[in-house]
Amino acid sequence: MLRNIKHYLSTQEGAEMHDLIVTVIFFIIFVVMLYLVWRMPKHRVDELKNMPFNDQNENDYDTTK
Amino acid sequence: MEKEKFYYDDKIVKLFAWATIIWGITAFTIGLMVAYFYWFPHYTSGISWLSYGRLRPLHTNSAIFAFVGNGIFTGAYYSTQRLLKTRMWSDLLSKVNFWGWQLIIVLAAITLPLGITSSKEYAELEWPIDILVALVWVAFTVNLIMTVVKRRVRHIYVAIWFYLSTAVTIAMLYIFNNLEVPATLFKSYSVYSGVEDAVVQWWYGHNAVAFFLTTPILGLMYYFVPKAAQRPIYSYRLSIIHFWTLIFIYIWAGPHHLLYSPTPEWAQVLGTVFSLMLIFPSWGGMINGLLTLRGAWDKVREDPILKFFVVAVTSYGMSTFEGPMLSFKSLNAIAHFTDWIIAHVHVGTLGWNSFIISGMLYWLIPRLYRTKIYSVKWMNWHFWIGTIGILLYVIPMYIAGWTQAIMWKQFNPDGTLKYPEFMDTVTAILPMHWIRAIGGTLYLTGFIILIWNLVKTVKGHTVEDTEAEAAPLAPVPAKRQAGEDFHNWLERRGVLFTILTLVATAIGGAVEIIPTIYVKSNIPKIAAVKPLTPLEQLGRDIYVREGCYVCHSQMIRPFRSEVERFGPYSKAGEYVYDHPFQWGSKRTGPDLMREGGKRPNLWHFNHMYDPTSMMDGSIMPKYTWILTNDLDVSDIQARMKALRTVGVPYSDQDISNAQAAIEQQAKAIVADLEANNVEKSPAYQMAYKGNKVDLSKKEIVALIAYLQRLGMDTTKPHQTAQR
Repeated sequence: MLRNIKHYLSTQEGAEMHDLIVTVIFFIIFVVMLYLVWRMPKHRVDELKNMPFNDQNENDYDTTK
Repeated sequence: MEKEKFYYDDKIVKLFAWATIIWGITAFTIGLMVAYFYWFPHYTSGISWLSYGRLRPLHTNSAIFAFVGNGIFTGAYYSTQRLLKTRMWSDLLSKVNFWGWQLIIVLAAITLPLGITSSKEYAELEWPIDILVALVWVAFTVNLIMTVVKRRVRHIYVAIWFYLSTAVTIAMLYIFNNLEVPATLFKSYSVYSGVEDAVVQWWYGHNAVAFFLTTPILGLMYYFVPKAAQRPIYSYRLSIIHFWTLIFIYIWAGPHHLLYSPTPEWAQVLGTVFSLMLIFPSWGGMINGLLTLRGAWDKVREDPILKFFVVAVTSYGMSTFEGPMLSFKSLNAIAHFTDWIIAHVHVGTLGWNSFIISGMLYWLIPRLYRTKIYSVKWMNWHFWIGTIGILLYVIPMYIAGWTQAIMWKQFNPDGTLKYPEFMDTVTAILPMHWIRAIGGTLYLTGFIILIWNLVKTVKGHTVEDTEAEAAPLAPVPAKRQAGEDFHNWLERRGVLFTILTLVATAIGGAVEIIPTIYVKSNIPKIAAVKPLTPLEQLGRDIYVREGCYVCHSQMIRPFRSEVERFGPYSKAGEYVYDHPFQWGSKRTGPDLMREGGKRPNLWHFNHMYDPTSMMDGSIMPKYTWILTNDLDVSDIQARMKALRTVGVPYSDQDISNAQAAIEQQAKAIVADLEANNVEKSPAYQMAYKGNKVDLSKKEIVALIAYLQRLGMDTTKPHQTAQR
């Protein structure tokens, strides 16, 4: 089987078509992702973006004074 | 659910933080030593392990892996524990990560100056250290993933996505780029050759920038910029798009390092297109970082940490705009091989990487030691001295790069090169290198201030693991819950998230590299191109050992100016036996692709001992030890067998007769040297102090054999056939 794969890979034509296919797939995923992200509820977004501030144990030293 | 008490492992964070500082000053100091070579090329004259060709890889490796690497681990260990509300999964793996990483750095600091190198840029370490790197990286990756698995927070914050993508992608890149066959304990040959090797190397090299100098630093940005500004990241939605598009696109851009080279045209186009697309996610990240400070710009005036972060994120924006621009073929034709690239790289490393890490250390160290920073005033001094240092570094390098490009390409009205001597360019840009060295000195001074300030800060204080408490996670079905959006669901599936990250990054590599290696039509063979003789191979190994590729390319682009200056442009088939390839990425000296037969053997003999004796104004350091070192032929058979394993067609007879062949070819070169009165040359007199020596047993003969072979197979095939 490995030999067949190697044979196919070494004799295939038009490798540049792979790039085109992958680019199209990427744009489709990108558009879908944009849609999903756009639909995220605001309260969830706010909750997630505040995660670095959920650490009550952190000592706070103001370095500007 | 009842809360559990636990302790964050802050002692490991402390260790990484101080390692960052120690290796930072080491990397900057070596960088400065390298910079001063341009003005004082002989100031380490005769000391092989302090030569430019060996120190420059040490500078790049120490800056990337020692300084930035430890900085990444510092921030990642600190923020991961807090974002996931848990201690690292395994203290043992944390310690293996720390001590193993420091051991790798020490081994690199020993082996690279000794000339033990694979010569693949940013991957120069030889195979035993490569294995160690892989093991230590696995320890980090396993520890990170398992910490994610046992977390007490449902969702994984964006910073950790970037750490995860770094962990899995660097493992993939490092392993595939460093596939090599060992010949001896300290010598191996890449399994890839020529064009294939170049594609794989720059897939790795570019993505070392992407996944070591960018994604983990973005992770630090997403955690430490909001913490320092005391406000959340500008847009979480944007961070999702930023993350996925960045990691998917970045991996494809490697071939933009190979424009106008003999790599397949489709791969070059791909590199350009994806590099241009890369602007969008990169700037998405930059905008997200800068806009986090909206409404808090007054704080930037007062808080030097924010000043560091603002310059860092701005530098990221500048270099990620410039990078895609440099991927346009028309601009790349000007910039490639010049100091412009050095300027571009240092906007990223000095501005983006180092300033993020400096800001992070100023924020982190007082908190780790539960004290206040010793001096805010000196933080400001560091910031301004460092910023001026960056400007004084990069501006002259841009000017030097443009000067080189213009001078290399200029023609007289009669069609001849206006500056036929490469040396004209070298001397023209020396003042720029002087200013660059001043900029570097200032930058180093700023970092010394950081060290002094932090040492004073921690004096009399210790680090104790911080106590925290959080409830364990209640079990939730793996399936998406009603009302749960897709990415929220994915964010709580740590392992799946990591696998998808790897898939996103692996696609680009596979689509580019597999066809390059397997599709035969990509690299047409040239019948006249033959393997090197054993003596030439030993000479090539010396060329690799001395880091000649650091200053000399072996790849002539299809431009009239380059063909006129160096000879016929390079073809893919000429490199099929080059394990590893030696194209280089910068021309401090001229291209050597067609050096063979251009100058007499005696010229090379004298030139290696004292380049200025053959070339007025040369800034090439002296390589005196090559004349005095005995040529080690004891392992030539092992070397040839390893090369045969990777595809060089040496026969059994070639291998068994290697030593006799070496002797025969060496004697022919020595005969030529003696016929030209080598014994009367100043180099001979000084190197051997007037004594008569058997030159055929010296390394210089092997190096001359190699240099005289370069390009001869295609330009004068009948001469190489006689060998």
